[in-house]
Amino acid sequence: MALWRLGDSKAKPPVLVLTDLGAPVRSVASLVAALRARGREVFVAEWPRDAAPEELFLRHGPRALGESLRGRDRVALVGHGVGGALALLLAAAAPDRVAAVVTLGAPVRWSVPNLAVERALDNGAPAPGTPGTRAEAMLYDGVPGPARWGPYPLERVAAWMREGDLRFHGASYARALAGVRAPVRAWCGTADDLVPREACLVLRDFVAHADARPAGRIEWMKRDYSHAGLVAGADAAREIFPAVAEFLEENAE
Amino acid sequence: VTRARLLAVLVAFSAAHCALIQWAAGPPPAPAEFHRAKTRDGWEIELRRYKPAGAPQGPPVLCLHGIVANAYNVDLDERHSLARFVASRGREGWAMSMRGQGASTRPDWFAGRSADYDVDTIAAQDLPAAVAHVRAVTGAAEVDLIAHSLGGIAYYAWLAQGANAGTGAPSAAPGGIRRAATLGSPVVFRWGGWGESLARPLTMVGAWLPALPLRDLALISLPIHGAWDGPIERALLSFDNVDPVVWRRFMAVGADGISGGVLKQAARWIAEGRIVSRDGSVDYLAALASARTPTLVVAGRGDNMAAVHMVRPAYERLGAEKAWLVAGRADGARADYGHMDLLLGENAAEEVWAPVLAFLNAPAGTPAGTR
Repeated sequence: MALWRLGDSKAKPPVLVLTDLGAPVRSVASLVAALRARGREVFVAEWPRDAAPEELFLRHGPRALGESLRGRDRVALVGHGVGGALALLLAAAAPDRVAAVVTLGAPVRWSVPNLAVERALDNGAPAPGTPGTRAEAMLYDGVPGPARWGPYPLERVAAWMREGDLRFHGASYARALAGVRAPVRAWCGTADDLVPREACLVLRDFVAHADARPAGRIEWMKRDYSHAGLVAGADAAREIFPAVAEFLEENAE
Repeated sequence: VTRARLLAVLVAFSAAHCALIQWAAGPPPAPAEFHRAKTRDGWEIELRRYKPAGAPQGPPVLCLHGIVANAYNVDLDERHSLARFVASRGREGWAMSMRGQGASTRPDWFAGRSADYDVDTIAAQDLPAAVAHVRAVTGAAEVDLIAHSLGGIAYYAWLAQGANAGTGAPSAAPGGIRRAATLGSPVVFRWGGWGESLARPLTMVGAWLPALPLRDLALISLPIHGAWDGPIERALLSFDNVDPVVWRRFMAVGADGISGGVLKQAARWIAEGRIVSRDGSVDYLAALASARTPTLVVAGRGDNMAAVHMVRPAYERLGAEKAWLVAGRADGARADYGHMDLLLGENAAEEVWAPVLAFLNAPAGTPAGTR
């Protein structure tokens, strides 16, 4: 795991940004820039490319949280994809140390099979995001070319996708979220083919106070957001990041 | 003089508006055979019949629209007509309007027809009357059904009444549906975001209205539909998939009102988070476990009105032979289908209706694609 630190403002709780599985730190570059512009100190965690969600949850995530909390009482968490799922789990595990949580396209429980994902897992069809294939759009719709970072490590979330809930050490991921006390805002991309809106909006079944909402035309946005589009989309800096920053300003001052 | 001028302005405005509606409505529908089915409680149901070119290759297919719509939603024009599509594939296609919609009889206080009818009424009266009429006219023992949105919920309510218990056997209700497909029929209501914040107060207010004259509102606002990705369009369709001209045409002839009864029932469903009968005694979703009619459940990946997770529980609960289809890019379609795209989408015939017809054509007992 690598942890970057940007800025040294002590005025507000820092923000720990948790990247998605397989996504480099540059996947959240413009999100980080938007948070920095609001005077936030930002930590960014990047995971080993072959890490499984369980490793994030049990090893890398708690370490990143511990590092970003050094000398501070509380931290705000912003996570993309599985990084968002990790943010929720950390908020449940350390309710006194997490001021607020924002997730972007974070899976909680998968409930509907996805043909393209099944084909990719079973028949060697290209994984979402594979350049030059139809599957590329599954991950990167609305994301400019240079901001893309390659295929999604689908096999790492295969068990989670197929079982619906993720079980590790005999515990249910979704049920573990009952301990979340911090304010939570979740954006669920309406064109997210990897973590479809139902897998993300279902958060409210486990964290009743969470404000989970679709990210797309129905919310007066210019486009329906894809998975990577939530952090790297052409319009995200105008439509998503200001709302993320405002939520943190309201809840993690 | 002032009164005369005012009158002249009104007449000119009305004439212009009529011309506008004519223009937006486009060509008149193809010659169909028009029928009227009588319900047990004395209403008349509009039916349009399209016959296949040769001998029918299966039972007739009854096509039922959803909320705020009428038969035009399943029979708008040559290219956007589910009823004509099934006829072109060797089945008789029948497009119907629920009571109070399209050319079906409308509520009339003076004639004793109140607007307090709801989905229970549609399931207990309109659907059986239409099915019985089609069977009587065609001589078919049973019909197949394709129902969109609220029409699909009415079908679930119809199943819950035990109407199809023991197909072919005499029962309290006439029965007679062999196989069915529902398109974008929600059974739970959880939108998240402003859709949800708005739905509750709106339906609470709506529950006190005798009816919602959405047909008139659609006609008044006609010029903006298709020209702007407004709130109605954002909730109902994607212009990636639906031609704006087709959408305006639908708004001119296919958009219709909602009865006070349906409003009241929808308000209750949204408030309680489940679809129940008028008296609250039957949970329509739970009752699907004992359904026996083979059913395909279709959801649009881009449907903001009946999102996948609001449609899926029906598939999961169904006790009968069943299949599941998502119309979206990840599942092989060219677009993520919105609510109206399922009926008005430019590729709906190939990407939605053809698989639906394939399900209806499958002989009973065929292992369904129960993904």
